[in-house]
Amino acid sequence: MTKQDLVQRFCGYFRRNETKSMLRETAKLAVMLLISLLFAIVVILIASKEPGEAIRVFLFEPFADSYNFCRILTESLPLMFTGVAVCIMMHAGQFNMFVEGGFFLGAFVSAVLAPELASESAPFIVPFFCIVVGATAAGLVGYIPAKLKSRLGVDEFVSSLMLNYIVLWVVLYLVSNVCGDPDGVNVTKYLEDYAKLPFLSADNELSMGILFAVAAAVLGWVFLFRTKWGYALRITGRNPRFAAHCGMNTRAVVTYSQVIGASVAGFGGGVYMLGNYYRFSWRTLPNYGFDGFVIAIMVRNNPMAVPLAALFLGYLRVGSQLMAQLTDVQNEMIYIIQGLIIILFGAKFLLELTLRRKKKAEEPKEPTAPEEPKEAKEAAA
Amino acid sequence: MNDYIRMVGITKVYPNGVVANDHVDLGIARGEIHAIAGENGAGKSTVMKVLYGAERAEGEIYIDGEKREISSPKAANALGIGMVYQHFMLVNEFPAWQNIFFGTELRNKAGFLKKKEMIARTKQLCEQYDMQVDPLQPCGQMSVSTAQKVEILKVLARGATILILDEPTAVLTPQETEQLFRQLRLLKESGFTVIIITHKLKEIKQLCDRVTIMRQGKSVGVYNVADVTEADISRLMVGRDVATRMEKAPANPGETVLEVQGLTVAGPGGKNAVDGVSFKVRTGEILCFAGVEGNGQREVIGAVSGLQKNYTGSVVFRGKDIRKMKIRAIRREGMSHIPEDRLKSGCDASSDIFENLIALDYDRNCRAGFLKLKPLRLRSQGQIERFQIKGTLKQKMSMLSGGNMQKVIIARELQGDPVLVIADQPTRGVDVGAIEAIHKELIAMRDAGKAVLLVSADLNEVFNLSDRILVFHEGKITAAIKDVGSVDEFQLGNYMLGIETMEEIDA
Repeated sequence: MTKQDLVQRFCGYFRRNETKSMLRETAKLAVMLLISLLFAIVVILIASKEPGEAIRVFLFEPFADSYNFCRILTESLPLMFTGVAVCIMMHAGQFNMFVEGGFFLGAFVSAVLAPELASESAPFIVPFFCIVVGATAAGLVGYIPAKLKSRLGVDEFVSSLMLNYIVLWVVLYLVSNVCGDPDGVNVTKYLEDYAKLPFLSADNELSMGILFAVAAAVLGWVFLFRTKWGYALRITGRNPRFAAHCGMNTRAVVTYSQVIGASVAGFGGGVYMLGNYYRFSWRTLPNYGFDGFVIAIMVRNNPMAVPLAALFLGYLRVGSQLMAQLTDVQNEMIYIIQGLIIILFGAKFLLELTLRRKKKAEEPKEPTAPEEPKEAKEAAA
Repeated sequence: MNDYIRMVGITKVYPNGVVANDHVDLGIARGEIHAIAGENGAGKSTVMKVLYGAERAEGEIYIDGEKREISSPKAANALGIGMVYQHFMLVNEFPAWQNIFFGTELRNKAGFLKKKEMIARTKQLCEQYDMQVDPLQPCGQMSVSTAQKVEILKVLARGATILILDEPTAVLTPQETEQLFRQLRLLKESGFTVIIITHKLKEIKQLCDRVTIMRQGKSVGVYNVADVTEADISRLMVGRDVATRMEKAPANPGETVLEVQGLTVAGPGGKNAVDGVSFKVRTGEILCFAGVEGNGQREVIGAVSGLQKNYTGSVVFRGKDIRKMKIRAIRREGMSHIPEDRLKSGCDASSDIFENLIALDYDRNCRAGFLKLKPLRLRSQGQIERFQIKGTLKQKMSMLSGGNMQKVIIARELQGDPVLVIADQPTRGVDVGAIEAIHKELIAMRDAGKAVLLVSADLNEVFNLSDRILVFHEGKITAAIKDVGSVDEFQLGNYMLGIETMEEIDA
């Protein structure tokens, strides 16, 4: 293929309607993010005695050096996994909270297995295997609320939420009584470097897990939009009656969507644990699963966009952590901003209407691709 | 002209670029029954929604010579305009009186509802307009025609003098339609102005004084109904002549593919919805279930299609017991089903046309679980062209008109060589042009040696398509007509109402 062909193909790609609408989506997302940043600045102005410095730290310090920048990547990694997990389950119409417990369980299982199985001769394979086992464990436990829903109609929201706490306390029991480190208190055994995922950049403590996270987003998208299982899942999520009428196995969809979601979360837990920790020492649920819902709302359940949204939240978090270290603003401010983001994206529907109306006033004859206000509404609900 | 309502240059472009109304002019005289006729997607509903303030559009509206801005249904109500939508806007759990006064409740000084007065007022309205509605019955338990009465009363209670009805007869039986028309004429005599949106030619002739015909978002003209024939209206609506009688060759029935024996389905209130029904469907023929709706046809279809397993008797499709099969297996065996409920079972409105077209055999067009998108897209594009669906692969179903939506469903169901096609009210609420296309497809299926089981409440359709008719009344088959040419509408009506029953039924 000549260079000219490539250029032409590239330009053609940008002329395609799909690409156009994707670009438009991205532009809208950017506007939303800018607005939430403005909110953040307002909050800082209220909370700080030295707002100028605080804002500078918050906005620019995350990019100040490569270490801080890699922290953004690391912070966003768990959000990418849980975000993808939530996207998959939301497409099936399943409001399953076990992303949280799955993430936690995946981290625990891989942290317990890795020190036992690891050997210096197989540095990458064994940790990866441990993560897969962790993901499987999360999937198996995630099967409980899934099957309860598909077989007995038990509301998955309630059962999965409760299951999170069962998993939490069982894991804490196991850590202190069964598989903890005999030399430590309430922690698992120390993870040697060869028991962990390799670093991409050891100086910046950036593990290769971020590659897995991006891959998970891409694979999640491929699964949903390119495979027969993803197709059945989406149709069932949107209109179960129609899916049943066409002979799709809607019960199976309800089950496998949640099991896959839990596994993705568990995989993320394992990757995060073996990439960025030296032992399992969590005493509470880390909240990454719940953050996954924030991400899913931001990207309207499109896994492909999850990394971007996760990076943005990661950036906000690193910014606010730095701000807490260097200035008088508390780290908790980030949760105010996060709350505002959720409200904003809930209101995105309204914004869309305004944009649409304006666009029509400008170019009344140009047909535009149909929008999806219903999805935005659902995401907000 | 001294029009009571005058709409000038109404132009409405939807966000997806569809031009619903293109400089439509409309004049309605005081105290007339005026029909807005046109195919689905011609822009009838849109122009009326503009008048009702439910859609905003460019153009001017004059009421009684004065220019008005109608920005919301509330503003329209204030001007005495009321609209009854095709899909009712009722709270199912609320009784009639609560629905009628919803949002305009009568309150005493302390702000409490004056329930007794509202109920009394409801009764009074019922008497005044000769409509029988129980004020205390929840709307969800009412028949469709009674619910429609509640809708009309709701509009009247708000002081409307101009009534807009969007396809009011689409959901009614012939008898109920007759009753509705009587009531509308009564309203006209008491000075009301009635506008009905419809595409049923007969009804225009029966009921209306004048008709405005719309085609592709434009007004084609206004006519005195007395001056035009049904054929004229039909020609103006579609822009070409539509054959009201289908040409078809005699049937050539072959082997039996579906055999139903002693099918009984329990209904509400201890009565059997279907009571010991037996029949056979053979290849190469169109068997039609005729009858007023709610006489067991729906339950029979439920059992035959495998969606409903709660029955006694046997349903055997190509030698296999349907009861033991999952929907997927039944469909694999060659049964396709165009369901009555287009929006809920027939398609997914929030998905695009492509996703709807591949819903039946997506899993057979896969490599290692990955959809073969290219051939599937190519095939779907072919279906869009063959069925003349106005839309693109990526267009959402919800953006399509009823007729186009139904074409998508039929394109999907006829794909892949089915043995038996169940078509449940396939042309309800569909425009004349699409009806013709759908009828042709069904006849083509028959001629290709498929079995077709048609359920229809539309007598015209029954006579046009069927090779054999089974008439349902109260869960039983009252007549099995083998020679369709030998009966007329009157005779069929007698069977449908249970006035007559055939002595020997060989179904």
